[in-house]
Amino acid sequence: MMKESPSDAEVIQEVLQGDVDRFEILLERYKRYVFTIVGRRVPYEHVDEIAHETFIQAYSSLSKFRGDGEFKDWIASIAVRATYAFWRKQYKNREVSMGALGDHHKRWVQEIVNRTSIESFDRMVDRKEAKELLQWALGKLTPEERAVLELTVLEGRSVKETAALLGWSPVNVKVRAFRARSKLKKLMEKVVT
Amino acid sequence: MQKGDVSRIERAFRKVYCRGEPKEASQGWEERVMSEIRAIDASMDEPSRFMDRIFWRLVPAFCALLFLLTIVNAVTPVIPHEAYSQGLIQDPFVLTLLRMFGL
Repeated sequence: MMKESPSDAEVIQEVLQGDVDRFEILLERYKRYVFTIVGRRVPYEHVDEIAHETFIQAYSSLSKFRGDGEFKDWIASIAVRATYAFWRKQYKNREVSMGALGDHHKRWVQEIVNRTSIESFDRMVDRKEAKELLQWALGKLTPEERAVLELTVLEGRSVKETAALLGWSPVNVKVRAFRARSKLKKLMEKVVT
Repeated sequence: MQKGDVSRIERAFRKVYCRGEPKEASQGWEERVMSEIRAIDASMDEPSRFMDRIFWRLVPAFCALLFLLTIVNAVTPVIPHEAYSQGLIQDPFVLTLLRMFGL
């Protein structure tokens, strides 16, 4: 008979009792999940480093994990906050200029808005202009606006979930999400004019 | 730009954002994480383990107790030496002792 794999709570208990090697189970279990969260938010070359930091932080504060929620949600919030901290560090020396965009980006926005393209919506989304425009727009936002826009608009999470992941109040999330969306709108208007 | 236009752009961006396979961990990534974790564990001696697991958990309770005692002290002003001697005199055992020594 195959041995049933231990639950997260059991593994955490063992780690806290001094069996550090058991943390490898959690690492194996949530590695892909953390890489997905981090991979969407930070540049490719920084993904390994931020995912690494996430697990180190999770281990260091494991005794603070209360167990009233899922470990998956807890580590997701550590990962989201680590990426937010990454952008806060980058914010000071960032340089995002309009020069990064060309006429083809402008056309992409116009085609999306006016539905004038002969391509389907899915194929439009596949075009590299879409990705470049998104990265450009996100780069124009503050780290706070970026974090909240990614969670609410791009991942479609609720205000409550976003607040829990970022450790902010729901009111703060609502205000920042509103500002971020207004800024995104202005940026897109700037692109087409 | 109309509200509907922004929604359409947002919908497109949502698809762009969620598309694509996540990056795979580079070779030796797990070993590096685990070796750092083992190093953290090794550098933690017994007193710091105690501090981490027990002491810091009790800190809020200590603070609450301190706060409570401060309030109690503030609302019931006491002169320490008077209260002490009064307490001693009210204690029958101490009173007997004091009488024995003729005090």
